[in-house]
This record gives sequence, C-alpha cells and structure tokens, in this order.
Amino acid sequence: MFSHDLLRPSTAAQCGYTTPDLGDCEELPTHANRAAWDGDKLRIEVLLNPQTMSISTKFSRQFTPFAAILAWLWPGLGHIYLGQGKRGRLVMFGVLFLFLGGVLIGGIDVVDRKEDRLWFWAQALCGPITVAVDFTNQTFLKTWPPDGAGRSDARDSKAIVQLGRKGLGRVNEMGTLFCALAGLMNLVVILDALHHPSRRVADRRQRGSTEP
Amino acid sequence: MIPLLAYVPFLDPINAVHDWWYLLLVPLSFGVSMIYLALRMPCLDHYWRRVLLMTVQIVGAIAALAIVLVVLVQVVIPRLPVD
Repeated sequence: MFSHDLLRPSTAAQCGYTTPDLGDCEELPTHANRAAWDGDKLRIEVLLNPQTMSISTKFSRQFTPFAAILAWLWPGLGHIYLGQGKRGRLVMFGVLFLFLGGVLIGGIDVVDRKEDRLWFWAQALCGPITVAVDFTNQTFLKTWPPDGAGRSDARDSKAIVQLGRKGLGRVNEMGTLFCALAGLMNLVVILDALHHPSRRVADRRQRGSTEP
Repeated sequence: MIPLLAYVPFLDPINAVHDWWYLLLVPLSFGVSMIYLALRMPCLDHYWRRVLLMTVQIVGAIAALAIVLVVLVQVVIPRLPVD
C-alpha cells in the first residue's frame, strides 16, 4: 500500500475529490483505493502494481483536440466524449439556452455574417448551428418571398416581409448579445475540452518511494 | 399585411420586449452561470442552487453598478462647479 499526499488541493479538487467518501463525485480514478482529506491535504492510498512498481499519483491535464472539435460541432459533446456526461449535458443546455434565446428574442436576423461580421465570428464559436441560422437568414429571410413574375405588388410585399422580420433597436442588440455570449462561453467549453483536467492520471514510476 | 400580423417564433423578433429589455439580463446571467459553473464545479452537487446564487450575484452587482452610475450622473456631476 502506498500513501501519497497531494499538496495542491485545487488541482485535486478539479479531479473530483471534494468529499472524504467521494461517493457523489462523477468520476473517480480507478487507481485510488481510498482518498480522504487531511486538513488541506488530500491523502490518497493506492495499491502498487507488484510487477511494474508503477503508481498513478500525478494529476495532469490531457490534450484532447478531438474532444475540442466535438465541443465546437455541438456544445457539450466534447465533455460527453470525455466521459463527463452530466457536465456535458449541462453545458449543452446552457449554450443552447443562450443561443436559442437570442434567436427567439431577436429573430434569426441576429445572426448575420454580412451585416454583423464581428458579432458573427463570436457567434460562430457555437458551431455549425450558427452557420445554419445564418444560411437560413441569408437564404430565406433576405430573399423571401422571391419576386413573383407578373405580380405588380411583389416588390412591396417583399419589403414588408423583410421589414417585419428585421430585428431593430434593443431587441436586435439583446438577441445578438445572447448569441455572441453563447459563442464566447462555448469557447471556454472548447478550451476546457481541449486541455481538460485528467481523471485518468498518468502512470508514473515511483521506485523507492513506497511504504511497506 | 398578413406577414406583419403573424408572429413566427425564431423567425420574427419579439418586439414586445423592446420596452423592458433590461429584464433580459436575468436569463442572460442565468445562462452564463449555467455554463460557467458546469465547468468550474468539481462536483455537481447543489449545482442549481449555485447557479441561482451566481445569477442573483450578477444581477445584483450590475444593478448596484447602475445605481452608482445614476447617482453619479444625476446627482454628483450636476453639482460640480462649472468652472
């Protein structure tokens, strides 16, 4: 049995150790037989592998670009891929709540890569859903209804429809802000998925530091 | 005139919120708190309670900032000497 004290509680906390019994934590390292807080230190006891004398004691961050790509493709998917299902679902709900809330408030006109280019780059961090909304905006809102051949009022009708679906003033600003904040928060999610705290700690040779 | 009268969610803007746009700060703060705490909390125990607490903190802080700015602009600055 090897006993190891972690001197970095914040790092240990990121790995899921917050309660002595660790019963409610979502992910536990498979190498830990028992873990308990001792003051501000976390004491972890593990069994040594008698063949390799290896032990997992180093809490590290893993570099997972595939999870980051998934996180961009669909908010929260990266964390679900990393085995953090509940966290991923909460992130997904939060990002989609902001993004869809923004579209609901300001209409799909809040995502416009031609008229609001800088805002669009922030919103595009939400992933393909932003591109889809912008495509819908550019294709259907700005060009619909098409000019009807032989209709004298087609042009006026098109202008009326476009005016009615054009977000203006505070409504447009708040909708744009909602979607942009959703994208910027998803950037944090992407970075967390890209360089996430490891729950599966790297094995490290600990020769000579064992206790009987 | 029919397209103007028929509201289509997610296509048309909600112009009714134009006069009380500042109340949209509450769902905005709620969403930001949800995402931030989902990443920040090591364990997701008492998650929703923490989200509500952070939402109240954000709204309260911005409301306090608004009050300070109102006092500054409406009270303090007008009393400053012109010269």
